[in-house]
Amino acid sequence: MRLFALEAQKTFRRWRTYIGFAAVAGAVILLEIIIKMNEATMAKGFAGNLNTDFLVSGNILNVWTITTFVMNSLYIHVPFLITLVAGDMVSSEGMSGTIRFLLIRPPSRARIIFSKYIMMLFYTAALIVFLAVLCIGIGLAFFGSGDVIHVQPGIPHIVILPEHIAASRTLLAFLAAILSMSVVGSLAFLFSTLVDNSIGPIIGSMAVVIIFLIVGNLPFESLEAVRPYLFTTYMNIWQLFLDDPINWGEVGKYSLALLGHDALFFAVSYFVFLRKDIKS
Amino acid sequence: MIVFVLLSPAQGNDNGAKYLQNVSDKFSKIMDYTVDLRVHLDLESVKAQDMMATLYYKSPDKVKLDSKGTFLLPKEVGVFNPRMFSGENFDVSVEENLQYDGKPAVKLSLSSKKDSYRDRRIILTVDKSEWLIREISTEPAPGSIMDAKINYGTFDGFELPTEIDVNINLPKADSSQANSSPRRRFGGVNGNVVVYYSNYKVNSGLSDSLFEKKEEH
Repeated sequence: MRLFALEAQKTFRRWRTYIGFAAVAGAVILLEIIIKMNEATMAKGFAGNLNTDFLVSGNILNVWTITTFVMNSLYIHVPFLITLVAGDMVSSEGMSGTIRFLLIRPPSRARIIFSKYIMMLFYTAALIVFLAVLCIGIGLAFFGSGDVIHVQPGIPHIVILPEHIAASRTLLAFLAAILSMSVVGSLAFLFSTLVDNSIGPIIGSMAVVIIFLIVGNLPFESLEAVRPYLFTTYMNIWQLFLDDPINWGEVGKYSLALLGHDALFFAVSYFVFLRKDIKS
Repeated sequence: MIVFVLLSPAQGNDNGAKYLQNVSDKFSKIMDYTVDLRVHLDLESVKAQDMMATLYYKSPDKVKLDSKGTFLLPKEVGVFNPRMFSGENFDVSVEENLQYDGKPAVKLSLSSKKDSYRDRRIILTVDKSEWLIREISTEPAPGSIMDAKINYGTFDGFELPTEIDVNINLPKADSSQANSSPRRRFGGVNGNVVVYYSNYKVNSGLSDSLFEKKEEH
């Protein structure tokens, strides 16, 4: 616990830790203001073709619908903000020369790497919780409550969840987003144990995420066999909680895949850190 | 014979307009109504639990939907407006005479005079013994079909719908329409929508101000 507190102190003393929070705040506030200014157009956009063939009534643009829209817009970009801190967790010790002091002190390497990993997970969770609080807080003030209207690729294209389950489903979606983002954090954390500078792990992990996303989204049948092995395939796990009913089988499969990647990346980080040469 | 052939289409049109007028007359004493709606969606592209709303109608064409949550109602066939198929808005012709549930009926073909943005054609199956519209088949866009079957009940002395079963087949816009069609984003809408009507209040004297508030979207 003391080690974790120390790591928290170190992490939150760095200004780069707050870039993620500032970026999330800026993006959410800007998005919601823009949506508010273009409410009528946005509402028509959400109802899509339904407006053509159906009379649509109710508060279409409400906090829950806007929140899923913001999550859809940001879940590709938030990983970058995660890597800013996760990619710096171990490498910054090497860069600043504190790694030797750290490793010659009593706490074992295992405890040190574990506390750093927990700190990375804490930061990831904090960023997503911050996103959730902002989305829901501003959204409630701007748009009020209503049913969740979740627009997604595939069939069905539109899922409408009644208001009384909207909050719980959104909460579950955010929890799933934390799990999803933790994999990106774990990857950046792993890269961070390999080098003594922060730029490499940040750019490296983002490059992996971008390449995996591109490969995963290419519409070629030959890539079908590859997709299950890309962790990015499971990063939209949060969308499963906006289906009706929730497909718990898929949730289990996605969760296992993401947790498996977390475990794998941490295990390699642990192995590398335990054998890290601090004499040269 | 030649005279008969030349005259018969016009006669058919006259009959069509007359049949439509009979339907309209049957409901001429309905000045307004309020009804609770429950919509059950079984659509390929939209997943939703049953939706509830209250519909307010005032003659000739004022409609207001009041729902707590999101509510979807098929246009044209979901709102029962006995005067919407008037001769002013449509050219009418008789397609065929037939038996519907053992009663004499007629199939009328309506072509919209006004709506230019939709190439709309409507087929009505009218029960001639009671002057009730039993089926409505519309073509909201070329290649699209919306078929509705209507069941009636008696409320305050008026026969009004208790259930409208709508079969929808609105295919995805093709690439030539992709930029202009609102269907471009989500693909087609196919499936079944059933609208249940209950708790009618007929001619309760609904105020015009009820319909003034802008509908929420």
